[in-house]
Amino acid sequence: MTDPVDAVILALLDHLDGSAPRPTLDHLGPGDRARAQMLVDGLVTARGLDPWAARPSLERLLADTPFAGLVDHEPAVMADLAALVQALRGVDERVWIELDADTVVLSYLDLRARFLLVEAAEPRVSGPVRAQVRARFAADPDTSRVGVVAGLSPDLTTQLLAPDDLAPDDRAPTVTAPHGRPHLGWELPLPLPLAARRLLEQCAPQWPAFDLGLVQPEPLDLAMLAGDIAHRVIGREAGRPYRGRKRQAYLALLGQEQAVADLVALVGTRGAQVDLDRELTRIARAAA
Amino acid sequence: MTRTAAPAYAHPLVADRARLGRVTDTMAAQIHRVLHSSGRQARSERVLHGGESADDVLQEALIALLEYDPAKLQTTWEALAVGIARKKAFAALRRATRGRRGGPDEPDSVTVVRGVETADLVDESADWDPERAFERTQQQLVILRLARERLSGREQRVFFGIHYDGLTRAALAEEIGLTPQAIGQMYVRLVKSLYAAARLDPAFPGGTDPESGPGRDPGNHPKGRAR
Repeated sequence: MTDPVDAVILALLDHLDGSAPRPTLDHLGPGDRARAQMLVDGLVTARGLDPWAARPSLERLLADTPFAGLVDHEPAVMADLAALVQALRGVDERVWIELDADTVVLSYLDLRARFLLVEAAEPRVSGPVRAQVRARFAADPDTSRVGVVAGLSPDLTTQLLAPDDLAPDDRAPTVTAPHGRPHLGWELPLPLPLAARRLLEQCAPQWPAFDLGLVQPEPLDLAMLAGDIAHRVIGREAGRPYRGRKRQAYLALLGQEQAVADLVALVGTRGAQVDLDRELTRIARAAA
Repeated sequence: MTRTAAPAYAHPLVADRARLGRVTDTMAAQIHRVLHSSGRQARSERVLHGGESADDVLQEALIALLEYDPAKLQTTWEALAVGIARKKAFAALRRATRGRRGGPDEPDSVTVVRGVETADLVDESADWDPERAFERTQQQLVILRLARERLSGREQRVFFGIHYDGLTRAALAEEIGLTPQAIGQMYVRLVKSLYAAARLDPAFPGGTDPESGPGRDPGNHPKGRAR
């Protein structure tokens, strides 16, 4: 380590962890000392800040006070997709965030959610927005949720929707409910990071590492192992409180574990030529 | 503090929304720091005993600031704002922890109570200077913005965990699967790169760093601003 300031930062971390006295800067030259002092001050100042918190708007803070209406209204600024990516990046390090055309995609294992930006102050699911959401589900059947993000809201208020939340066209209301509130049964609109965290809490699959349980080395029966894993995973996922098509799919796969195991064994056969799409479609049709 | 009816005078902060926004951001950061600098509780649980939140304290502090008679101002509005925010945050802590302190060996059920004892230590209250506090907080808001914009998810986990949440390197190492030494080195690299970028940011107030020339902007320094 060549920069003496690095050692000071690490020593300060030791101090803040309670394992060392506060470091001094006396041994540093004037330039390094000033640089180190700024970093030390910064670290001490930053403790306690919530990096993802958004303070309430001035309008909200001053509502119902003598100052309500005295402060000029902040011109609403439309968020862009980069802002959505930023907001989602810090939600959970397990998830993968990427841009896909006009949506931001959050992926974790087989969970996929798309976030759609609309130019509105609230994430109202009007007729046109409903059509856009339905189009996203239709274009990518693996999408579990679509989040409608109000791009003009300061905290990127988001309404998450599952495919089953969208009524068929002939029953679709133009606006969901009085006061712009969605009907009961929908998720509450939340700031984007909170909506994403809630999504993960509710929908993120939990696939713990599989313990082979091999006491001593012995030939591995891949087909048996695949069948066992398929049985456990499908059973566990079918028991989770999924809603909509995902729940239907896992319930339908109950009893199809051996087909999955056979496919794994086939793929594992040396020289096998397997059309995975066709085989998976066959299993899905059998399940349906 | 003198309380007067709000519309009785033209408040300079009310007339300058951008400045009021900056001041309010700094007050919010100051309040979070006092309330949560040593709590290490989950962010979602950051509500004081009794239900008061940082946003409630911020509202109280902002109204107090706007009610302050400009004719009696002895310092900058920025320094006054930081002082009010800090005072209101400590008052909220006292309200939340009144009658709830246990014995020396008895853990308190309110995590945030620990802030009462330690906030003064990290502040080094004897020479606490509201103008410096405003400047440092403004610097940290720039650093935070850059960290949100530039760091990857994994880098954010390390930087945010150490810099804001006070997590130990050992805890992060276990979570991420690196050694504590690697976590420390990553933090050092990240914090230095963020400061290097911040020095080029026009919103980053000067300070004592001699290398901060390109980022220095007297307009953002409370001492360089008209009262």
